[in-house]
Amino acid sequence: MKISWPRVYEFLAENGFIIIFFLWCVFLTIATPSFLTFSNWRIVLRQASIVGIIAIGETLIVLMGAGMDISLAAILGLSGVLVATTIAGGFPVFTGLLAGIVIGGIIGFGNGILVTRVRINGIVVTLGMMYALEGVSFVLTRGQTISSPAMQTLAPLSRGYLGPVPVPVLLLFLFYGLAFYLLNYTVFGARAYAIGNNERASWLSGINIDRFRLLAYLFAGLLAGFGGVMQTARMGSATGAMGSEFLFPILTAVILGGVSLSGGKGKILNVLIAAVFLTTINNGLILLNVPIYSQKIISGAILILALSLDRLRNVRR
Amino acid sequence: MKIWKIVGLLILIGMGMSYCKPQPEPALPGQAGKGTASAVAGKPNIVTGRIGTAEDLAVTQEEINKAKSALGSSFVGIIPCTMMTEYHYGVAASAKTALESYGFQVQLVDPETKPERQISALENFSAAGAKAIVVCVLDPKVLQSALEEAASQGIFMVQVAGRESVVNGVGISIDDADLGRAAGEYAAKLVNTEMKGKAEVAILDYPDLPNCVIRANNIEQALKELAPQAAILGRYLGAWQENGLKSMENALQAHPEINVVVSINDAGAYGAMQALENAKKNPARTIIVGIDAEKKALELIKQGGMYRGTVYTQPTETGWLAAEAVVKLLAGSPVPKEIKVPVRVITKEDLVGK
Repeated sequence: MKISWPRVYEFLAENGFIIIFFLWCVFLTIATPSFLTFSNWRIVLRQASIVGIIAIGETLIVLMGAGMDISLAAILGLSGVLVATTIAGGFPVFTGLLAGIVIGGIIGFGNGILVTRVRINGIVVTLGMMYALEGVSFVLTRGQTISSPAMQTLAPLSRGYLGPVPVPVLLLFLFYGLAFYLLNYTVFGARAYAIGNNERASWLSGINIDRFRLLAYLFAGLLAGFGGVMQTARMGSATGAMGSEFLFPILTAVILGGVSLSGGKGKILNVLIAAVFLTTINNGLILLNVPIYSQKIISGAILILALSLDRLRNVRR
Repeated sequence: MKIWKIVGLLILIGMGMSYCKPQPEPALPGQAGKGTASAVAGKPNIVTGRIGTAEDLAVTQEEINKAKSALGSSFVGIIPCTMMTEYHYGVAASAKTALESYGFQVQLVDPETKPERQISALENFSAAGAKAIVVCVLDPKVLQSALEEAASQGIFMVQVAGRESVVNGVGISIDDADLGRAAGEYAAKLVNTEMKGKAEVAILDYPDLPNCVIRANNIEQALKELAPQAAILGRYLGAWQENGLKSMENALQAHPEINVVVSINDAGAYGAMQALENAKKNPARTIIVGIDAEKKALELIKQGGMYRGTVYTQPTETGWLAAEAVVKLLAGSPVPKEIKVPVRVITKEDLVGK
């Protein structure tokens, strides 16, 4: 049988990071006894859930060519702080939960207005917003950890199980199912791709581009707000800096997942796989007993390898 | 168009004039700067040969008055490590409160654990005419030249971390080595008395910050010396609750036998505790020791679960001592170059009934 190298090349280019992810999983399965176990995968998916859910919102924004939202991690942080402050202040848990999601929506809407109506670049707006929100989180917490026994009521959201499956994992798949449907089987999805592909043609065909982009920022804000609720439930407390660890993984998941930064191209399920891949890097390095000082080198190398292979697609085109 | 050209020319001339203004001759570190209010301004009156204690910094009203007149219309700058953790917030807030209670003007900048932002803050405070700066040095090697630059302008430094590398002033801090050592010693004591010396230990570290690594090194060293039969399974990423939780969830997959966690701070330890609880570890046979004595840690210790102790870092006292050191320096009073703040482990026995 003759090997068709162009086809191999094409295959690698189209599925670059997924192949690296697969090889990484195979390696870990052979090298460690605990990687391919149900309990470990439950942990991996649970750890990937918050980043994965927020990455859906980021994907929508990037797909529509509306820039990139840098403030989502800070929205998560502020939402979490608000949830904790509300509950610790004696309000019902549901009020705290609602406050966290609503504040995310309001900030997302605000970002959207600034981008679509005031016409400020999305990255600039959200960068400024990120700093402002971190400041607000700090003012609210005053450097303290906010916790209260009443917050245990929230715990099932991030630490609970439905049968053997953790609730956040179910939520992750639920959100991705909805996003997949929205982007692939609805007019909204078709128009979202169209706007990202060719803004002018979309405008000429009567699509209200600003409204779609505004909706993308609103959805992203709501999801980040919900992520804040989930993170507060996971921690049982909130701090002003709780969002800071999320910015890099969210952006990496979207970029690694192959969503084109100029918009119009990208598969939502690849973003999910990328979020899980990122989590397995950290998980795998610990299972391999790699010293903490070497972990960054190896995780950086894996990411570069995955991204390089994936970028072959663009070179080919 | 012409108007703009003229305006531009005027701005350029203005900039040139200000640049060409005779600059005050920079003083060498430890030398008095010119044009300062006090005869001793810019030069600390250092008592060498011993490490001082809190008693050495007790200030008198006369010293406060002298310091006030030396400060004049200038201000004291505060550059914490971050304002996002209870400890660092406590140090900075307490120093600010104390300085303001003396009637000093204070400016505070939060560098958010980024040494490069500390450098900018030092430069900005110097340019704005600060007479003294209280700084929590994140990385002594990175900040060394910026500290020396500020010191060369006669600014007094009170360093509330990185005591050993103090420039033109006083270093007040708890040694990170002492903190790590105390946590490691207490964990070793518990391992020896409750686990017959045998335990599976995980250490939570944070390699991004050298001070945290010093803590982790000393935790490990103390455990190896005092509980030699305990197996140290590895160092994992901590410092934040999320890191502690993730690291321990993953570590428990590889080493389900982990029963002792010693953390470089309390925040990381909370996450580890959650992971251990999720793994249904028996609280009576699991030990967590942290550092920082945060409120939440004290509550957990008081409850009597697996969180058994935390090392008290005395943030309020450290901040207050820093303010007193500023007074001493501005007043020209003798001060030891290094002030050591003692550490102590807080356990359930310390908290019951309080």
